[in-house]
Amino acid sequence: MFGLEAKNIWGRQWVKVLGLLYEGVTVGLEGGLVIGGQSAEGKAARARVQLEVERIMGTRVSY
Amino acid sequence: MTAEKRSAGPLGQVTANLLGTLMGFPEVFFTKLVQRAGGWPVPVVVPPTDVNGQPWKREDGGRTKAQGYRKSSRNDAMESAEEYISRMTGMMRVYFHILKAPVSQPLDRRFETPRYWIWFARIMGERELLETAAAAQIIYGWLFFSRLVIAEVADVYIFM
Repeated sequence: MFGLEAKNIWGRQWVKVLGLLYEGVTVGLEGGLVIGGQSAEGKAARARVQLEVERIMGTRVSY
Repeated sequence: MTAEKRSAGPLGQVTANLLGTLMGFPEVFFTKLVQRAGGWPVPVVVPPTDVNGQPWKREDGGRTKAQGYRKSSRNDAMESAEEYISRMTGMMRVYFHILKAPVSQPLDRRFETPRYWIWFARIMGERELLETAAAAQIIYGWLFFSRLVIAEVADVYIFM
């Protein structure tokens, strides 16, 4: 891969996709839609998605 | 059909090879996939009525069965959310592997790599699906794969 990161290859469109997903698993999308819903399994899976997005973007957001 | 992580890759590759060589196999395979994994491979919400417009027949397992739910492997009751999610994720893992698998001839469009991106675009529009726990876990699997799919495409571009 020559050290290229996914986000560099796909540029802004890919970052947009990741941004949308990130919103969906954190603050929620339009109309209060939170990906995964409110069950325990959903919350756990949602946290995994969030971590994976952060890993791809190479940033860890701290609260 | 369900596969654990380490067997999903080889299984996906073999399936992709067969899909490219066996006449009629793509049709049959996708049908079986949807029969077992419900709306996830498309992805789409399983409609409230059967294809004939009638309610799902209870004796056939009803809408829940069409959504992919099965009896638990541990007892006679319906499987738990956890069991369901892990089975759906396992099947989708194989499907994503097929979409990513390098093949020597173009496949049926349901198994071509662009489907990988179409799948995501679709699920983001399916509110009812997105709010389920299974969706979050399957999207996690999808996201994990994105790296591999992009690498595959990047390799092609780099060596072109």
